[in-house]
Amino acid sequence: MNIFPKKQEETGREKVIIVENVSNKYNDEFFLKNISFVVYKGEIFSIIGLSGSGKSTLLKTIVGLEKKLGGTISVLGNNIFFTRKMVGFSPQQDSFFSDLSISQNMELFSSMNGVSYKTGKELGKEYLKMLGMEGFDEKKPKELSGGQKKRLNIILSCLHSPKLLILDEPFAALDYYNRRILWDFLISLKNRGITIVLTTHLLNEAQEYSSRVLVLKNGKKFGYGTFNEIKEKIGFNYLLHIKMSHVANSFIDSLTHFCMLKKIRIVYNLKKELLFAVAGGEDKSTIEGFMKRNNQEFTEVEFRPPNLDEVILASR
Amino acid sequence: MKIVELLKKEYILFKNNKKQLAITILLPLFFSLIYLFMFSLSETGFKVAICNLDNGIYSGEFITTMQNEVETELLTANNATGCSIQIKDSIMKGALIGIIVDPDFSEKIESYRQPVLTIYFDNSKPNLGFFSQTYVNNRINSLSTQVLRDSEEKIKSATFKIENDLDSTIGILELINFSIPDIIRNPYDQLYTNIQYYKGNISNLNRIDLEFLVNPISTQLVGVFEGRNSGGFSFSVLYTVLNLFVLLLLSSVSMVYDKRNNFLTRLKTSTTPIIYYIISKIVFFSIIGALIFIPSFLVFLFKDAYFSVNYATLIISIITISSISTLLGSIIGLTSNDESSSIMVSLFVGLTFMLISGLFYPVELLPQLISTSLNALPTSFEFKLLNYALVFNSGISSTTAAIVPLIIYLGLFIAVNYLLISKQHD
Repeated sequence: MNIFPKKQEETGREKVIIVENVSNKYNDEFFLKNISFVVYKGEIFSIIGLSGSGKSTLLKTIVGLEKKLGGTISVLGNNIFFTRKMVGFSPQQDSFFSDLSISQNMELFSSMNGVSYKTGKELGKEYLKMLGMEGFDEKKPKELSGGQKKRLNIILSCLHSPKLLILDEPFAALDYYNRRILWDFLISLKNRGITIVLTTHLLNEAQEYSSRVLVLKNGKKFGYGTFNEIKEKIGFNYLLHIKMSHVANSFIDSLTHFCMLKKIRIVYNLKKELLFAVAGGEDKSTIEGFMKRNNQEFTEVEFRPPNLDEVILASR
Repeated sequence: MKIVELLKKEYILFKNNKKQLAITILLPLFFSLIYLFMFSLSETGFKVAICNLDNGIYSGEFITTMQNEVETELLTANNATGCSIQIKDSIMKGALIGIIVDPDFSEKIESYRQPVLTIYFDNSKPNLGFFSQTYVNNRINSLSTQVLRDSEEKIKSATFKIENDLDSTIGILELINFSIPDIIRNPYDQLYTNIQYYKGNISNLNRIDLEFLVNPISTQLVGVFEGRNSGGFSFSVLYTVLNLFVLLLLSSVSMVYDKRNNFLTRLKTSTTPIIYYIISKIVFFSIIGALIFIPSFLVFLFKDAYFSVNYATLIISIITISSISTLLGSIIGLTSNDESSSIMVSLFVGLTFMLISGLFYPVELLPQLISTSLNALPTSFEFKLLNYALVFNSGISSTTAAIVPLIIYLGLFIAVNYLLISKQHD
């Protein structure tokens, strides 16, 4: 029985995941509070936020590993129980047997998802090649480097050609080179029509490669949409960075008070160095005017649009 | 297909783990051999130190008996104090027991009095005291019988002579009966009656079996299951305990290993139902349960244990017993944080079941509440089921008293496993 009829966006884009007012509790405290969002077919969708913001719990709730306390979740137009065959999930920790060869792991995990081990192995070999691990089939995972293990973890999640791939922190503890390989792989999967949902705390990379993001803060939805949509909503379009050679504590106090009145956020306060989140040139002139009125010498380091890292930082 | 792949995974992981392989092969053999040797202890290496203060023939015979059976060290001391010192020294140097033969050992026997053999043993070894006394008693059994027979012969030869003399006296009395003057008629009659009475008593004494005096009532042990020695029954208990012990360890460690590799997360996010996973564990460890069965069974068969096997019931018994052990092990694995804690709990449960199995002492003698509780445990139904299969040659339809409770336990344990796997968090 299809309890979640497939919804079509007005634009015609197919919704792969629909999460509506989902809450979850951990140790009698609400961990996720009324989260709602939509993931469209064929996009890379990132769930971002600081550690402990609820990213992994949300993913686990979507794939049915955690029970939700309220709300509804539709995956590929139905309850995950009925659509599991079309979903691949890669847990945050390495989830394979180090004592089995990669080939044996691929046989096991493809057959567990109803795909013949031959088909699974063929696809696995192709993915190994794409991820720079060609000819590794007979190696045991314990012989692999950390980055290679991460890649294998993801390969084992998509041997059954899922339509939706959900990845929990796939880039954790990876260096730039390994992250780059993995992003390229995910983009190629996306190009094959696979929708990808992932959690990460690497905000800049999420901004670069994802079409849309969901920002979580303390289990609540803090921002959602494209990067520009989030920036606009938060009202943080530019970053102003200034340096001062001499500064008195009393001046910093009065500047802080002034910014509060003018609703300008100070992102970083390192006494002789300040970062402001500003909506535009008008805010910049206001700050400069205050400096001059108080005879405070300063030099402008930069005035530019912020990246996602800085937007999230500004919202703390 | 999914179950086959899961079985394959269990097999490869099991095969790769040399420690698990060793446990599976060696533990059953070790258990069975130890159990059998416990009841037929070898005397190889048994060394006895003897200090003989007697020069009679019986002490000489006793020492010859001992020398023929075990390694014997004869000590040279010529008094009790010296003997005691030398014996203690010998025990410290490796003799298992030391024996002092008193100076009047043979003389006492010859004069129908009980002599004493003083046995010294290392009382820092708790089991050795009882064993030493039983051992010496068994060794002097033939000597005691010999002493008894000698005494019997001497006594009977004396009484036989008395009986003959009394017979002659009675004959003489009867011969002179008519010539007795009236004046002594009464004392004569009294003497005749008394002699007749003594002769009757001496005749009874001649017929007495001396063993009656030593052991007036004897006992005879008869098993109610005629024709079956206790070997088959012992094997049922031993195999059940062994199966539980080995499969608890293997299954709990296997579950911890799966958890450590986040396999349960993979399982729950795959299209494989949890029950398939549980079934694959049951099937795999039932095969291990059957493998454990073979060597122990052969050891018991070799030692002449009585078996009358119903093969269909036996296969079902092994599957049922192994399934229960596997599921219990999985529960331990699912509730343990790491391998060491799962091994500790498995050992605790396995050893407890071993102690309460009745292998080493009759559980019926425990307080009623405890023995009744023990009878409700799955292991007591498992003993019964195996007895049906191995000793009574019963078809499965005759085993309902054992199989039904076990199926209930099986269902319960599957449900607990399912619930724990569903609730398992990374």
